[in-house]
Amino acid sequence: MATAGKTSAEITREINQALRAWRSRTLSIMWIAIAIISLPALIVVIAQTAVTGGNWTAVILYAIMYVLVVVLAAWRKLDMRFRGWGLIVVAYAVGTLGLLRGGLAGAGREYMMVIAMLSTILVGIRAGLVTAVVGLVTMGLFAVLADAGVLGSTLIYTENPVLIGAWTVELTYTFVLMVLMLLLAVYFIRFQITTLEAERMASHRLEVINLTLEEKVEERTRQLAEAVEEAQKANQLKSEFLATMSHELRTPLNAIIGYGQIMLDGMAGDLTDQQRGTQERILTNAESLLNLINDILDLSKIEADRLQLVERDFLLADWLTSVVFQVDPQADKKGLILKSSLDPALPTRMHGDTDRIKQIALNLLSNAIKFTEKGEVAISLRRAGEHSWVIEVSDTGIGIPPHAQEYIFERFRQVDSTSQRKYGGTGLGLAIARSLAQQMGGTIQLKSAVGEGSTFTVTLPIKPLEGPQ
Amino acid sequence: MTTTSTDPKDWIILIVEDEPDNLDVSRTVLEFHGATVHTAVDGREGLILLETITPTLILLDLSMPHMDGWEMLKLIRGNPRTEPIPVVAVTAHAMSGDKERVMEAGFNGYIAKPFKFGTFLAEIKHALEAAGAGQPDDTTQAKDDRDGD
Repeated sequence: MATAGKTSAEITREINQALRAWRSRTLSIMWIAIAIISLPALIVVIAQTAVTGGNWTAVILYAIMYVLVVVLAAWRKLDMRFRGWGLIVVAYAVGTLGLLRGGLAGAGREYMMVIAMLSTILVGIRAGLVTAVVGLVTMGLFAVLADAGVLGSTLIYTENPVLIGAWTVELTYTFVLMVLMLLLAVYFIRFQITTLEAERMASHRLEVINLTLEEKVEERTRQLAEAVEEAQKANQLKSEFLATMSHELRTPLNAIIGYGQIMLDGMAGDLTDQQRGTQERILTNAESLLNLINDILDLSKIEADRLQLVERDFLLADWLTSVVFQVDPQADKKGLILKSSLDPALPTRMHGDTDRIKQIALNLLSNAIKFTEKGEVAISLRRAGEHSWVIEVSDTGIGIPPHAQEYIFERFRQVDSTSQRKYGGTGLGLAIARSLAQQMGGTIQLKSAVGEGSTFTVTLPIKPLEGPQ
Repeated sequence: MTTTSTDPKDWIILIVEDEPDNLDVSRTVLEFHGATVHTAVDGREGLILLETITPTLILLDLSMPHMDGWEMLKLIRGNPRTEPIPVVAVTAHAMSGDKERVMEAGFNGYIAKPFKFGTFLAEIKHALEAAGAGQPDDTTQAKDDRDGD
């Protein structure tokens, strides 16, 4: 709290400021009220003097005082004490005049009481006490003067009690009332200050809370930005690592596969049948290794989200033809029928990454051919609702048992290790196909029963064409 | 100056390659088919060699010490005498996008390592034909060996 916000001294200062502002405003209103009220009086005095030809000096004095009143009302920048005490002095003067003319029965007594309250509220508690004492002393003085008979000539109300005894009694009443009113004023001011204090403290606490909240949000934002940057950096490093690894693995493999071909092609002299067979195994295994490396890198790249889809418009029929063309020799070799069908409900032109979609289809078809001994392998392209299309690859092969269907899409997983030995392959084809499908906003599903074949269904979104239909 | 012959016997090939075994493989297969082969182990040596010979085609590795394939290609293209010689990249940079980068840089062909000899020779022939016809061609590049599984 102490570090972020204000001290209590600051709050006290703020409250004093607020109080001063309120006093200044109130003083202005009071002075304006006085100016308005005394304007008709001024006019009457001027008119009277003009008609009866009285004393113009008094009129000028009156006018000067009026100007002073206007200045005190309008000059807000003037020190508060001048404006406050000015008001008190004027009220005191009027009160004294009242006492002089009407004694304690006139308005003078009310003025003396009111100035005590005025100064308490508008200037301060100490000023209020001083004013009260001055007011009482003034009234006491008048009591003494009245007793001495000095006031007799000035008092206009002859029926007023002028004896000291009567004045003392009246003075006591006045004193009690004054004390009550002073107490009221003091406690009212105190109450105001306490309310303001509570208000300020609350708003101050809120400020502190807001400040802390702001800091927290800022910190979290910064942490997030750092995390994103770190992730990007890590991804960048991963990409670079993949590229380097790919390059470094391919370089010696090129020598292995190259020399293997040199041997097999007889460039290094004739081979015996056994040597040829051995060399062929080396080459086949080297190529398997290459495929594995390609698949691993491919999958890592897809999973590192580094894969950039190169999407463009393409003719669906042409795409299907080229897919079939590529796997036809494999199917042919095993004596399988390769069927393909294209749903006429599908648009002739589609938009997408043809190479990557082809990679999915080829992976599924190669698998289907690999695990099918007789019968057929089929690829069909269908429309599936308004916004998606389906590549379905089915076979009449060995099928996949239910327990294996759960993990068949995981990396390096085939149905069991026996099938791995029997059928070969990296076990990454399906993982790649699924990752690719997901990257394109699609899904891949499997329906299969042992001995009855398998059906893989890839659902992809139909994306809007770039060019004209 | 350049031949468009598809018969390897008419070819004079400069191989620039820093890895000795890979260099040896390329040389062996080309010589086996009757081509004349010159070799250099990096871009600098290749450029020095180019002052004395004018090959039919250059097989250029990309990652090499001292001067890599990208830099050497720029210098080959910057010299009016060597500018028309077709240059084919032979590289183990074979991830997606690498081929596009190579062709954009102005190579006349792209062979990914490891290569099959059939692909290797076909790509060289293709680059020679395209260069002979006086137009760069990027539609029927031989496929790299990446259709796995």
